[in-house]
Amino acid sequence: MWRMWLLFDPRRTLIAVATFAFGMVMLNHLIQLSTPRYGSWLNAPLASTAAPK
Amino acid sequence: MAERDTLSGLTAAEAKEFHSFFMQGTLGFVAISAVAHLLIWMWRPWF
Repeated sequence: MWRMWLLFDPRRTLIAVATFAFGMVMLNHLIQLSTPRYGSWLNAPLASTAAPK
Repeated sequence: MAERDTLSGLTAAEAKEFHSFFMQGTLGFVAISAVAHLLIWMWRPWF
């Protein structure tokens, strides 16, 4: 497995993997936040911390 | 200078050393993600 670093330059690979992972993480978080199950807390005020009128 | 006849320019020793750090970082990422998913599951299970 370590032999892959004889083929791929670690610096470019790290940047590519980090960019790809960041993109996927952002995509998945935004998708989940757009669902009623995991995103409903965004617009509905929390019961305990109701926004002042 | 160490013998550098690989495509990436790393020697076998450097590749092994980098790989151990790379795997540590990856496992750390997976561990943090597993804890986060466990917390989310305890909050609102998705199945």
